[in-house]
Amino acid sequence: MKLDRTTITRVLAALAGLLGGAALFATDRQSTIVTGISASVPYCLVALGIALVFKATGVFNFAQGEFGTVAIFALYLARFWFPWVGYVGAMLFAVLVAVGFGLLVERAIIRPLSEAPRVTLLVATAGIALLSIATQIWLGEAQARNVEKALSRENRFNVLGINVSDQRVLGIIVMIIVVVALAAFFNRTSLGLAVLASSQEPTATELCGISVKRVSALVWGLSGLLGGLAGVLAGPTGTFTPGQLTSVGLVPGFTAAVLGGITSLPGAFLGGILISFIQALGTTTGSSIKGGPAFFTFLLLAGVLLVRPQGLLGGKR
Amino acid sequence: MSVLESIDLCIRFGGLQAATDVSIKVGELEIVGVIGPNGAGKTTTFNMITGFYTPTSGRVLFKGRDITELAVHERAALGMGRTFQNVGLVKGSTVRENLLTAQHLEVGYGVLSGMVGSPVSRAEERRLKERADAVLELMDLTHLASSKVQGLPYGDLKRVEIATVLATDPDIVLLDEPSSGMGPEESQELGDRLLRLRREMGLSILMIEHHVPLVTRVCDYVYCLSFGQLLAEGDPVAVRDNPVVVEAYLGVAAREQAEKEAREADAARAGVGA
Amino acid sequence: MSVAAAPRLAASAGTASIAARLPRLAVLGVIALVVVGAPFLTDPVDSTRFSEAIAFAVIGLSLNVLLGYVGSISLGHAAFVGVGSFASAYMVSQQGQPFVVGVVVAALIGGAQAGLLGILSLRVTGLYFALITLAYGAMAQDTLFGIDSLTGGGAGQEAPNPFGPSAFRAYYFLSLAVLGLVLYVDWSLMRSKAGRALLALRENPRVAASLGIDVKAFTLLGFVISGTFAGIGGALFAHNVGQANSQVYSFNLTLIFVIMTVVGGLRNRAGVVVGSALFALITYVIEKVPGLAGRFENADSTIPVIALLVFGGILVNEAVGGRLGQRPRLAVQILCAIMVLLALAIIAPGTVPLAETQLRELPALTPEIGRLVLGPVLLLVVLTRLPGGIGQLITPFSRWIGGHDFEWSSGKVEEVQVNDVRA
Repeated sequence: MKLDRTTITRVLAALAGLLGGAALFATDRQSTIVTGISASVPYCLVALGIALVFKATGVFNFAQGEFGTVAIFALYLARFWFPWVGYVGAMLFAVLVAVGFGLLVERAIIRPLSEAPRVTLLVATAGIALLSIATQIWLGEAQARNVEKALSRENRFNVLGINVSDQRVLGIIVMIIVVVALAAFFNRTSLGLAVLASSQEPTATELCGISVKRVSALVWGLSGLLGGLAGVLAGPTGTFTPGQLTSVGLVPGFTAAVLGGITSLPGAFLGGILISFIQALGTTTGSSIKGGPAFFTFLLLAGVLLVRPQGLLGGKR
Repeated sequence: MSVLESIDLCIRFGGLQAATDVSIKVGELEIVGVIGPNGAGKTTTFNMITGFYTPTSGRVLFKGRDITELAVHERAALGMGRTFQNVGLVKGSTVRENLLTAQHLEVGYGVLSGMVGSPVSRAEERRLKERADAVLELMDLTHLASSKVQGLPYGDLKRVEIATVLATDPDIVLLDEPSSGMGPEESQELGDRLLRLRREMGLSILMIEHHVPLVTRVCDYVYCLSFGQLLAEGDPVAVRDNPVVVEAYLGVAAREQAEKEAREADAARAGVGA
Repeated sequence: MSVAAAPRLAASAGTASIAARLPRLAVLGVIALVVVGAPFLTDPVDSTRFSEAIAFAVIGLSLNVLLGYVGSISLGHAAFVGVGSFASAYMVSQQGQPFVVGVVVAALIGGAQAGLLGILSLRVTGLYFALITLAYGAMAQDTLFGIDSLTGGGAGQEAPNPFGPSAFRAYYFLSLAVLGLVLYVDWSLMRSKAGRALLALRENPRVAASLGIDVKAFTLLGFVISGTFAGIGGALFAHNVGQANSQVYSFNLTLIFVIMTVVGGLRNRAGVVVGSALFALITYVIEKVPGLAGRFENADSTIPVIALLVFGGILVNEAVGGRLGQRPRLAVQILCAIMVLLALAIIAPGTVPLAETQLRELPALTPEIGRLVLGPVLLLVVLTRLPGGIGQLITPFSRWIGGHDFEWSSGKVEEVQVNDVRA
């Protein structure tokens, strides 16, 4: 997906429409807008991971949320077991664990099933997600925990009268760096092109000397990285329980990816922000409906898939 | 009245005009062939006639009735059957089960009745089984009746596919490369079988074929497509020897060669006559 | 649970002589005896566990219709079931209707709701539809089941046992009868033109259409049947537990349903019934087998038990893959070594220089969690090694009972085939 003028225009237009819509319809405008943007980090990163895996392998990765939850737990444990590496060291450890998880999943499950129908792989990743959640419940019990933030100041930034914590701002900054880096990777580096090539034509790619196995490992490792970042950046902003990022982020993440056009990385990013808005809207405006966010998300997903299945920025697949 | 007629069918896929003004007619009890190099739009035309593609313009008539708007299964209900290039069968089921499935429209009981297992449905199932076995015998497939389709040799698969189509009791069958993968002996058998089917079951046949001897032996009329357009039509031998057709398959040099040979043949005949 | 074996008998009566049929009938008799006699050989309360297993079996069959016959994936099946549970509970406890009416309403509403989703599936296909069902399930649990007037809010909706609060055994036989009915309809369906149409359209919709099958109509039919069965299962489930509570119908539950159906073996009724019942009864079995529960409660034993399970799993994997007797792969060797070390560290402290205190602090693997952990592991094994699931193992036996010769490979399935259509 090229980061060209059309894409950028569409992204900006969508964002503008979003802000405008929120400003007009939201009951608590400031809260909706500010929360919508600042809480978008986990949704965007999960959506990016989903879009990446789908674009490169055609698989719907239901374990994407768990990459994040595993990272949160790893961060928590690292602070508990070896506080002497410092917070940054702990974050690094957590992200590495998530990457390792991604690589393990690729090697143990995805590769043996590489010839299987995509639906089978979906079920397999769902099974992995459940296994991960079950293990967390087993080892950690179903209680809510808290891990301290990277940056704890809450009132440095104030937008539209609402305080945005340092942690959230950090998340947004890292997220933007990641998105730009990914775009550069896919558009400009030969490795990135190799990934795209192997997704469309694995046999020919092999013949060109590119190892499809390595590419597959790279993709899933990247996906683990994205998941890990989501966990590490967003996890500390609240309490977390086993399966946190799956129960909170999986359905919205998928909706976001589909919204943006499941093969478009900038689209996934845009979709993440959109979904974040919808969730915020659901909490404020839709507070009279029980489970407002879930309801709005469902309507949005059904609507998009019915009306424009290729999403906002997706081309035909 | 023709059994099947397509009138000026055109279709575009994005920027590609895949078919332009394809007009084909199949008369009653006729066997009509469609030839042409790969990518000429033969299967595309089949897909338009059977309803899998919607043409951008043109019409399809079946026994005089305009069926251009009808869905695939509705055309099947009217009596149009077809085979597929990569063998269209339910591979997870047995041969007999495929033939039972094919008799879907023939079934005399309703869905609910079938779900409760009423006596009516049971009796009907027995009748359908007998009909299926009759078709299997016609196609010399009785020994394979209970075999799973998956794993059967390619030649048998093609025969089973034809049997399945026959079980739908069609008026016309559209065969997509029925002889592909067959050697000369099997092609000969296939030709015999097609002629026999026409005779015994009152079938009209429209077939895409590459195997020229089969086409010249069996077809009453032939159309040649190239790049989505009709290049030539008529008697099989005449079409085969038509220089334009030769060029489409084998290139300009071959055409010039064919024209040269045709001139020499004419000269020889003139010389003899003189 | 070989109630399912009975239909197969009639479907494929084999060639065994009268004398050869005797041992087969005997085996069938024993199985029937176990199924019918179980409630009398155990405490009355245990029958609730058996009834739950039956409810799970019905639910498994409903998902099998969707996943195995129609070829559509539902990641919100807990919602289908929950709708049935609440419908029945509401009708009986709020509207004062008899149980039968409750079940019928549950079936109708379950079918209708599934039909609506089916209509959606006609426009949105494959993996995208899976997403919609996922979102639907999440929405149902939060929003639909949050309508307090219908669902009783946090306390749930009461769903009383029609025979009385303690009539556990009676309820079991009722459930058994319902399962029998569902099995009969399923069997009858698949032998009729509708069943053939479903199988055809699942595998090859283009060919199905060219044979005259209205793909859209029959897809909808499949959805409605699936939803109807799910509603019935939900009613059975709720009235067994005594209430319908929205907390229960979560994504986790949906995953368990999907896993138990796939592990049971798609398109294999006996397998699905056994697989689903197994999932429901695992915890019960662990509790009842003497000494086994104790092993799970004591953390000291958890690691060795896990190690044993992993070992066993690896062995089975290698055997099924035909590699037993050959030198195991490096990864396998490393894994085994780690497991052995961990086990030693626990059993014989001091032999391995590990920080024992932290290992000892590992929490016990309770039966509940055991099921959650075992499920996905079984699923992944089935997907990679045993595509026919439990059904693949059962089919040789059921065919033998039906009169054929015993043949190990008669249940063999090439791969777990849901649907050929790609997103």
